[in-house]
Amino acid sequence: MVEQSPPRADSPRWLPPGIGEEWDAQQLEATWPALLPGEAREVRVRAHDDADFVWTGLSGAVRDSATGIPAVPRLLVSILDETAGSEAQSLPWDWEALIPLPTGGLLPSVLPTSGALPGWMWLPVPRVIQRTSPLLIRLESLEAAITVDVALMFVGFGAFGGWRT
Amino acid sequence: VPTDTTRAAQSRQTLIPGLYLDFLPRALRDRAREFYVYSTNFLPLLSGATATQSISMQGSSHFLLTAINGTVRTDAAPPVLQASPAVLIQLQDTGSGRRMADQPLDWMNMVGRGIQPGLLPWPWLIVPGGQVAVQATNLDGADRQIRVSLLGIQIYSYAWDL
Repeated sequence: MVEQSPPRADSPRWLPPGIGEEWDAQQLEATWPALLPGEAREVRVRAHDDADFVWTGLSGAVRDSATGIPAVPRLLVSILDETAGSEAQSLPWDWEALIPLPTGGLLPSVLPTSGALPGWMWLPVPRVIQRTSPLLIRLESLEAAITVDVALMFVGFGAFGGWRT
Repeated sequence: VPTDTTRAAQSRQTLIPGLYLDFLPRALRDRAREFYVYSTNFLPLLSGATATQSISMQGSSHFLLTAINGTVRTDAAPPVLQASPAVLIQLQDTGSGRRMADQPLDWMNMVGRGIQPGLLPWPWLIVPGGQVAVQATNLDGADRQIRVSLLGIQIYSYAWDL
């Protein structure tokens, strides 16, 4: 038996048991370039192939495609774990109801990866996405005239090593 | 020398305790759990109107409601977010009959947003297959699009196991 090592100091202490032997910060990013007014578009991101993804937080950026200036997020969001067949919601939810903004000026590539930081939606408990599993994210624009570029960042931990039982 | 069984028990003690554990009945503490959002919409709620929407919870899991978030927007294109909605809201667990408040509450006193979540000081536990009725009253002089999201934790019927 492989002895289970304790979580690293920066790992969430509510990490489900049986998930990995080593943990490290990991992110998945989904982007919607030029999302048209009223358009609904699905994007798939896939968990890495070397680790289960323990999803703990969510943030994002919305910009006016024409100007690059951060835009008001008038968006509905829904998320489906396609392998588990489980959705994270009963109905699409309003971006502003769940995701803190303004974070439009904060690019996902420079977002910190640990700690309870403003600008992030922190899940009360994580969702575990099995390695290589696709997440299907659907955005629907409520805009009437503005085309927007959207980036949605799933932050969490990669759980390396052991497999979930 | 710890056996596999004691190692498993130690890991369970080490890893499972966490946020909201103390709020759960003992019988639910080792259950698998996962983040989930239930939502309902009033699209629109007419000026001066009161309406109730019922949210049906999944039959396979308890739901620990930890926060109430939502948005109120103008009923226009594009819908514009209202910073200070003139809306009253009440929640009722229709299975047990209990209400969240003694009378409908001002939206601003109850409902949060992403930027400042409406965290409950003590979460609500809804039984599997339960129903939560969300009642909203639009006190504004114009129709409003209202979206209410109940954030929380699905607690499944099976245990987390090693």
